Parts: sequence; structure tokens; C-alpha cells
Amino acid sequence: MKFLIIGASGFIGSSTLEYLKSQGFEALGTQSSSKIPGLVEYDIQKHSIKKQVPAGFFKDKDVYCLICVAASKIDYCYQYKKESHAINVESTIKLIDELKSLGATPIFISSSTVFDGKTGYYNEKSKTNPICEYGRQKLEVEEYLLKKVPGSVIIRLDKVLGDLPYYNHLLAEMFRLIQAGKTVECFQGCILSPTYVKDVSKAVLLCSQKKLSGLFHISNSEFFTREELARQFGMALGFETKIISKPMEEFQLLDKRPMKSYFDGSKFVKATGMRFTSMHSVFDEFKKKMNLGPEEAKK
Amino acid sequence: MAILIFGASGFLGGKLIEHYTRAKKKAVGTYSKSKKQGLVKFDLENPDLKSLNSSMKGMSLKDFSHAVICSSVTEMDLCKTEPEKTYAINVTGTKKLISQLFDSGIIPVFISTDYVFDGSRGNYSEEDERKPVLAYGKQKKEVEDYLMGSGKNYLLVRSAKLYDVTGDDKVITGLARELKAGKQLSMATDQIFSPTYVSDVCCAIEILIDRNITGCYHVCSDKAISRYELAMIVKKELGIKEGGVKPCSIKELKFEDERPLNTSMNNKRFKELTGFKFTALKEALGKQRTERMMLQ
Repeated sequence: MKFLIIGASGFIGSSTLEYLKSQGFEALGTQSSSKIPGLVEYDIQKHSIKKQVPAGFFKDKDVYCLICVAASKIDYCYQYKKESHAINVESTIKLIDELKSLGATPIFISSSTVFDGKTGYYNEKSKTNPICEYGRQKLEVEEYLLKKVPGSVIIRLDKVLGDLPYYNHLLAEMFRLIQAGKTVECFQGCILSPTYVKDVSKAVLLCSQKKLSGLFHISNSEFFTREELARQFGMALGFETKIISKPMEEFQLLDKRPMKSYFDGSKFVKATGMRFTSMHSVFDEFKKKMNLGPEEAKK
Repeated sequence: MAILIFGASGFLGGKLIEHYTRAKKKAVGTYSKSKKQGLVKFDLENPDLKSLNSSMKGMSLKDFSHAVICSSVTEMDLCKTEPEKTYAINVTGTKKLISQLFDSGIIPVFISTDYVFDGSRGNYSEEDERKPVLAYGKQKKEVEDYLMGSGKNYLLVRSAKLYDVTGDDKVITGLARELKAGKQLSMATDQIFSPTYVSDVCCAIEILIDRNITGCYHVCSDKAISRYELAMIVKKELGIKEGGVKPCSIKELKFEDERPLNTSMNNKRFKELTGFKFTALKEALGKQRTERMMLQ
């Protein structure tokens, strides 16, 4: 069994590559432009994956390919519908087709934005109804995979966050504000399932070990409103935290976001026995690392 | 609710209908002279809005919340040399259409121009006095006046020169083609404007309509540049070695209708209302846009 991580310079991709290697698996990562040593150059819009990886890479059985690459900013997808569709749908499907012909199993990362966020607590059978362009694009690829690539895995994620203050994720953003004594502004009425990025990496490995296929919600069973998450996080760090919540319309966002995007992740838990990390433990990890430099913190 | 797009065979109208289709929102487009598949015939010289009820399949006028009027004679010199013919379309016909839209409860979205300003100082805001010098600008101002005096809900979008980066646009692709053919082009250093990425304007129209915003807005890029600067940026960003660009004054270029100098507009009102970020010219031409999108 071996792994190819498409988009290994990003948040989820880099964490997963590191995790798989630490578990002793053969894993190769790609990047499009940023120059991180050890990653293979692959531009989803230009290249054939077979030509970019070392010869014979796909000859082995059980090659799993995690697709993390995407134009993932919701408002960019709204503003640049054509360009983002070219990346998130057309090029991604081209990659999926190539993987299929090479006998590799795609693991596609999808998102809670395939739902409208009206009811929340979504399971894999809940009706999709994307209200933003990004969600529509993700759903298009999901539907393609379910129809055309049996055996492939789709993992839907809600809010993924980490324990390092240096990456761009929700906790790091909040931390910068809290530390600077600024107010954390939250979307009013949002409920999310914050999930530890290392759990996502573990889940990717479990998908392949248990030979899962189909659709899975990979999510912590805890869920929070944004305000409550900020409050708990601030308390855990020992900071006084100023929080206000405002209606989403006051944030000057271009596209809509689902309000209640939290998941019922029990299907995956039943299939794998996976135990998700509680937010408390993530806060504790974050606290240990928050005063360290980027290099030390990574250790 | 769906939208109507008058003049969907033209540059902006065509891009707008493409934009709406991509967003999976309903839009019906019309053409008047250049027949195009999927569009409905509509004659702006003798507008009859109700006729659409029979020419649209499975839809009627009550399905539409807004109608974007992109159809007009945009050849500026033609407005000077053939005043009556162009007036009949750009003013008389357009006003009639707007009045019919009001009667049907459809909000008109009128696309106007920076040429309603005289170009003596630039950086014009929505409230600034309009003193068009071009016949084309005068015609557009007359329709603007009609909207403003109507007492009804309307959306007035003033935009500038629009460009695209692929295919059929004149501003960038046309320029690039001429340069590649080795031409020496004279470009005015004293004609200043705000060339705007057409896809931004489509997006802006979608936002304004979706949020049911009415009134007048300047929808144009942040940066005012001269024709000469535009040509130099295109040459550099696209890496065109052939051809040359020579600075000149607009006065040396002979137009039928004398062009105003600085019609650049201030887009602050629209940006503050919506949080929209316009695409810079360099960004539109280069790879940075995709890279900016991909940053996670």
C-alpha cells in the first residue's frame, strides 16, 4: 500500500503526508508552485500525474491518491466561477480519470458546503443543496465519482483545524486576534464540527486499511457555535477574550455559507472504530506550541 | 427569480449570460441583429416587451425580477455621424423598453458609461455632475435622466472600457494581435480611464441583483491608467517582443467625435457596500489570479 498526496503543500495535504510517513508508509506529495523540497511538481491544470511521478509508481497494487488540491476560497470561486470550475471540476475530473486508468484509488476531499446549512447534523444520506459556487463544484465531482468510479472514497469535511499557530486555520486566526487584544468576530448562528487535522490524516489511512469506498463524513462528534468555540479556546489559553457575533450579512462576503454545517460522523466511526480528538486536547496542544518558533513547534 | 438580458449577443451581454448559466441561475437573453442560438429575438427600435411571452419557451414575464439592458449602439463615432438612427435605439427605444419594464414590475438594470462625464478631472463619483461631450455619452445620460426622474426602482451601473483575457475582446486580444503582427502603435498618454475585467462586471451585476440593491453604482477597476500604460502592461505581461508602442496625445489621433481626456471613476460606493475586490489588470493577464485562488 502506498500513497500519493496531490496538493501536499497545503494544510491537510502536508499534515497527511507527514503522518503517513511517520507511520512508515511510502508516501509521495505533489505541489504546484511553492517550492518545498521533497515534493514533486504537479500542476493539476497542466500536467499528467503519471509523467510527474517517478516511473513505475503506479505499478504497485493499492495506490491511494488523496486529492487535496482545490481553489478552496469560497468568495474566489464566486468571483471567478469559470477559472475555479476549471480547477475544481474539469481538471480534477481529468485527474480522477487518469488515476482510474492507472488503477489507483482516488480519495476526494469534499466539503460541508454541499449542504444548505438550514438543518445541520447532516449524515451521508442527507439531501445535498449547495448554496455557494464552491459547494456546487464539490458536489459535481462527488456525483461524478459515485457514478463513474466505484471503489473511490469521498470524505466530506466541515471545519478542519490544527494545533500550530502558523498555518491558516480557524484557531490560528482566532489566536492572532486574541493575542493582539482584538475582538473575535463570529458569524451569528453558525454551528460547526471542528475537527483536528491529524484526525483527518488518520482517517485517510483508515479508509485505505479498511478498504472503504463511497461517501463518509469525517468529523469530530463535538459541535460548537463559533462564539462558543472562541470562548472555550480563549479560556483554555488563559486569555481574556472579546467576542462578538454578527449576522453573516455584515461580514461583506460575496457568496453564501451554510449556517449549520455540523455533521453526524457516526457512519465512519462505526466502520473504523476511529476515536476523534476532543477540542480540549487540541487546545492543550496549541497552548504548548503557541510560544515556540515555527521550527520548534513542528517537532 | 430569473433575469432578462437585452443584448445578449453583444460582448457584456454574452459574458453575462455565460456567467448566469455557470452559476446555475436562470437567464433569458435577447438579440436584435446578430442571431445567436438560444437567444430570443427582440427589436430595441420598436420594443414590445409582451411579445417575449410568446417567444420564450415555458416562461413568462412574471418569472423575471430584473432586466439588464446591455443592448445599445456602442460605436461612439456612429452616434456622432448617424445621430438619428442611433438615438432611435439608444434613447427612444431604450426609454420605451424601460417604461414597459416598469409596467411589468421588472427592475431595469441599465448599463451606462464613464463617458457621461466630461473628462476634465477624473476620479468621478456617482454624484458628480454629468456633462458628456461625446454624442454617445449624451445619449446615455438621457436614459439615466429618465431613470432618475421615474420615481421607480432601478439599478444604474456605470462601467468603463471592458476587457476579457481570452477570445473575442478588442482591448487586450486585439492589441496583442496587432503587436504580434509587428505594428507600431501610437497610444495616448493623456487619455485616462479605468479598464475593467468583464468577468468582474458580470459578478458585480449578479451581486447587486441578488441583494436587491437599487440606485447608481460605479463598477470599474481600482486603477486609472492611460491608453499608453495599458498597451505597455499588455506588451510586458504577455511577453510580446514584436511591435512597438509609441506615446502620443489623444489630439493626434483623429476621431469623428473628440474623446474626453480623463473619465476614470471612483468605485468606492460599490466596494464599501459589497466588499468586492476588483481584479487588477496585471492579475487578469497573469497567473497570479489562479495562484491567489489556490492559496489555502
